Amino acid sequence: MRLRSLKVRNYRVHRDLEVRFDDRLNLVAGPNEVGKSTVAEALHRALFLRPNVTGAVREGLLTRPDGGHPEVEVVFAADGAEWTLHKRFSGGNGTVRLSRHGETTLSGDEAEARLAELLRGEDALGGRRAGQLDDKWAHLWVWQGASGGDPAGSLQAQADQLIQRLQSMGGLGLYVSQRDSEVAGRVRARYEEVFTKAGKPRAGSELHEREEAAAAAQARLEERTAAVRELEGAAERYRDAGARLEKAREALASLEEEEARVAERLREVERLRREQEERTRKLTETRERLERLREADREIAELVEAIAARREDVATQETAFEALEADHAERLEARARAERLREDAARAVREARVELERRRARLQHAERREQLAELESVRERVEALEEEIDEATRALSELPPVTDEVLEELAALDAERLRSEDRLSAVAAEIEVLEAGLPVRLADEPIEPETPRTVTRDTELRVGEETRIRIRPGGGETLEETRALAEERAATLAGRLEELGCASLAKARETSKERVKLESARDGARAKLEGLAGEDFDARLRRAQEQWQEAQGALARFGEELPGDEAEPPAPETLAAGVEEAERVLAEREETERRLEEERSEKARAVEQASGTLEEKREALRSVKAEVDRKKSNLELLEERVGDAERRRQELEGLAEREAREAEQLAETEAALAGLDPDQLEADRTRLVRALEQQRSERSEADRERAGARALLESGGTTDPYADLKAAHAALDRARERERSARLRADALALLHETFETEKGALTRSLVAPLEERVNGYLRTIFADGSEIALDLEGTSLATPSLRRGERFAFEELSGGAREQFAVAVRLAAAELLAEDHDGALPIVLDDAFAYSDPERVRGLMRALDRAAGRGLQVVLMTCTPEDYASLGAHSIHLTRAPAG
Amino acid sequence: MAKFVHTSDWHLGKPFASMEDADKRSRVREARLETLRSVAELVREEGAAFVLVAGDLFDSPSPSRDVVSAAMSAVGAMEVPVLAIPGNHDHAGPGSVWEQDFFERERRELAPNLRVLLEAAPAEVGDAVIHPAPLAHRQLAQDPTAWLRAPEVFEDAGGRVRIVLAHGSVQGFSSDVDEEGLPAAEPNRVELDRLPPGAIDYVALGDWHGTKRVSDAAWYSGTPEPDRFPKSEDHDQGHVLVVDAARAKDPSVRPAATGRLRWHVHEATLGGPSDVDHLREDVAARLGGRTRQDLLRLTLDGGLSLAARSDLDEVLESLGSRLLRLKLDDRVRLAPSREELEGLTERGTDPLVAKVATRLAERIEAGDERGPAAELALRDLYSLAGE
Repeated sequence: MRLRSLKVRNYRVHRDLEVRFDDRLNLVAGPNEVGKSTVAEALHRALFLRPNVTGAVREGLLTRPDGGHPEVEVVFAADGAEWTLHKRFSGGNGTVRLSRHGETTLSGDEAEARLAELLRGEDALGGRRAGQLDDKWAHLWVWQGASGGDPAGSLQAQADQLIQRLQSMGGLGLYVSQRDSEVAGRVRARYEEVFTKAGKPRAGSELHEREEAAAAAQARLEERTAAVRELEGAAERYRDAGARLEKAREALASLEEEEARVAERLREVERLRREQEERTRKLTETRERLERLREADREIAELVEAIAARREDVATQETAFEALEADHAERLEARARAERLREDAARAVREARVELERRRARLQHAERREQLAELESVRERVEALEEEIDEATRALSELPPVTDEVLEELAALDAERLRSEDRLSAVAAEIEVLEAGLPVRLADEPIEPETPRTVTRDTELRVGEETRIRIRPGGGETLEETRALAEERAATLAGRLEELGCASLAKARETSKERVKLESARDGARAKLEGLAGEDFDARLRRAQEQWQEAQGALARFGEELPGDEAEPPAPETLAAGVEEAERVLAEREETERRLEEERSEKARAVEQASGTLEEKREALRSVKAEVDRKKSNLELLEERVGDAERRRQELEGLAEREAREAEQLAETEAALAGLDPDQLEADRTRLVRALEQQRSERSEADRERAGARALLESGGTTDPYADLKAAHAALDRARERERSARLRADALALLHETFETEKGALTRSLVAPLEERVNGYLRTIFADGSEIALDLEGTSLATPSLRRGERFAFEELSGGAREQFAVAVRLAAAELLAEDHDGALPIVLDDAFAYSDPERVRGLMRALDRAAGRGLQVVLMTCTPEDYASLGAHSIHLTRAPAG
Repeated sequence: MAKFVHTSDWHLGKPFASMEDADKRSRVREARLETLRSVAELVREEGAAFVLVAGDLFDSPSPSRDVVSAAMSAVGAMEVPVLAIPGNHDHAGPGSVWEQDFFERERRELAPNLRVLLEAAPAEVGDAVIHPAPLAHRQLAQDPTAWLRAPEVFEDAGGRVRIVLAHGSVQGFSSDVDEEGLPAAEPNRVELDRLPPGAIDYVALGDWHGTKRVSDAAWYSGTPEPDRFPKSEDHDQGHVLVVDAARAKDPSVRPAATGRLRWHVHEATLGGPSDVDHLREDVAARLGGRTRQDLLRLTLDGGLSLAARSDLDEVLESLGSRLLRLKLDDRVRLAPSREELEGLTERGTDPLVAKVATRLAERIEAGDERGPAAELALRDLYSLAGE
């Protein structure tokens, strides 16, 4: 179906308007309120509003102020022919006419019926249903401001057609029937009763309850099993404890008997031990007495013997002591003799020592005098040299100070002067007249031929009277400077000589020579002086004088006569020999003294030794005598105590006899004791006590155990634990079986639900695939980001689509721009599919549908519209900004504002 | 000469725990006591001089007090002397019922005619001497009748009838796994061959629940009231033995039926709706019109269509209600019929249901671990889609 043209009269803003449509793309352009939307509306109303409509709907169509009944005429192509549809909305008597070229015109219901047929069942609305008017072909008429709405909603009315169309494309079976949906829904509902979202059995569901019941039955069985085990354990313990008790009783009886036997024997041991102790005590006493008596007897014998021996000893020692006393006296005499001899020798040594000192003083005196005389002679020569130095120094001070440096300076000055004069004579010009016709004059002085003249400054040469020639030797001013320099240097030299007091340079040279000679003489004298005296000469001389004085004093002390100065002193060699002689004498005498001293001290030691021995012997003698006295008194005391020898003998015999008797008795007792083996008896008793204790505790423990087991066995009786155990086993089996069957039912339900979901999903995807494919074709022209549509079915109609851009975005999540772009893609795709039933063509009217789209997307939209036009759709686009759509290449319909009134 | 009733394995107090319904459970327990009243009548009618109980009077060594009281009342009603030995279930020993003061008190008051033979020593009753082999433990390592192997033991009996009273297995018989599924006690082996030949006139055995002749003079009386589904055809429960015995003569032994409740075993392989109908008829034939008096172990296998399965479920529902117990081993596979399956998988009008049904059928076909769940899921789908 395609629109060809529209004529409108008295319809809202349009008094009279005619518009023709292109088959593909149409742009209805014009400013606001010019009636673009009215064009869209008029087209729609012509197709779907009954002409006899009244009331508010009709009121809405009227022009203001009222200018007659609204009329609309649409020419369109459908079913291979052109049709002219004319409607006049004149209230109750409104008219409709539908005519096909060259055929009779239909009118009234006939016309409406034919129109509905042409529009594939879309009958026009009137009366009360006029309110649902905008639902008619809502997918093809995009009203202003509604472009961002849910495209699935706009397809609601066409859902059946669309699904049918999709099914016809996908083949048989590509749909979900009402019953399908119902069954799937009931399965889902049942599934959700049993399972949570996580797929776990829901609390309160049969499966969940049976699972819990099985677990409870299991616990109950364990409880019952434990109860029976406890009972059986108690029976066993009762038996075991009985056996233990019996054993313990037997053991106790035999142990007690044995214990009594051991106790009896231990009492016998105790008695024997006491007897043994008594007998031992008596024997020990007897033995001690016997021993004491024997000891005293032995002691007395020893004392008697010792006293006799000591008395002999005393006599011998007294004889020896007298001999020692005589020896001691002799030694004292010898020591006195040795002392006298040593004193004589000491005196001789002293005398020799004095002689030696005197001779040494004499020798020193002579040496000191000689030394002093030598120093005196040196002093005279020193004085002569000092005088010589003074003389040379004085002569030098009288000469001008022409040193070598001064002389060099003078020579340099003279040399410079000579060089200046040489240069002066070098720059001078020599003038010689070789032959003269006219008088020649130089500086007004005539010069004669062959008489050369030297010119050293500017000079005028005149030849005759008329010829004047200036001669400038050495290039002008230089000559003058040279000359001045020569003169200055001569003056400098002369000034310097005068300063020095020399008449000439030669004189100065002479003076210098003389100075050198004098200085040399002076330095020579100084060197000699240095070598002769040295720095400490005076000190040395003074010391020599002092020493000389000392030597004289020393000599005087020895009482020697001082030799006079003039007297010839004895030769030191002679004096030195005297000294040596005296030294030798002294040494000899000292040796003698030392030897005598040794002898004396030897004698003294001998005396000391003898004195010691003597004293020792005296002491020893005294102590021996004292010992004898002591022993005598001991002997007396002993005999007084133990009696005399006879008494002692008798008593010893009696005691020995008694000892033998008592020892025999003790041995008897000990043998009896050993026969009883008391250690073993003690060990036995300890062991038995321990064993008894053990068996008694075993007995009471077994008794307790048996009583406990008995109590347990006799408790209860109201129920039979074995029957309870059987019941618990059976209950668990039942609970498990019930759980198993519930699980199987739940599993069956889950399987059914899963299968429904899977198959439904597969079915839906196959069904909507062609639509999705077409939508995606449009989306590719609009979005460059690979966006795709995701479609689902809700029952038998389309669900609101989502956009897949990597992840899935619900339609409502999209921006306003994206929504209207996405929606138009869906409408175009759906229209494309639906167009198949309308000779492959359908108009789509877009009233200002892209208000939110940016220029980039608008370009994409134009591509999409062009694509749609290429696939049979007739696009009518209303816009107030036609320049945005310049590149669409659409047939333009410009509306202008109608003149006021 | 001695005429007496030989019985055993009363198993009083047996809990029948695998039965879930408390009311029905108590009905089965009560039946055992009612049967003992019939036995008392029989004793009177037959003029038996005494009754021998060859072990397992109680189901447990520690029955509850009400069981003890009821048992004493039932024994007391028999009036003649009743001699019993402990068996493997109610063995003697510390803490056992036989040593309880309560038991002794109830015995004195309600059953003064009861003698429990706890010792391996001869006991006289009328013209007979009873040689008991009581069990002091659940499992005995040695033969409890070993003490009877010496011929001298019987000398004191002289010309009186010599009867051995024992509980345990003999060659070829043992009580096997019991009804509760608990492992059977290692059989207490009684070696009859080793008893002195000619010294004994009758051996009264207990433990085996069916009535069983071991030899002319050795019998298992079996339990007077069945307590389990029969293991085989000849496992004949629900009798006591009326015995006439005399010294050095073969005894006359006559079983007398005493059982009340019927324990049935039925197996069926189901292949289609007609098999379900047959099952219904077979079971009806067994039960007659009775309710609350029968127990049935039903083993089913084979495969059923979805519709036939629903029929079967109805049958089972009725049985569960009528029977005291339906022990069901249901191994019937779901085998939807071609029409049923196609009705789902080729349902053009509901393509989603068809798809799901196809997937489930594939899974059942593959027989993987979720196969059983898939069967059930397909059944659910069948009923949901059919509504």
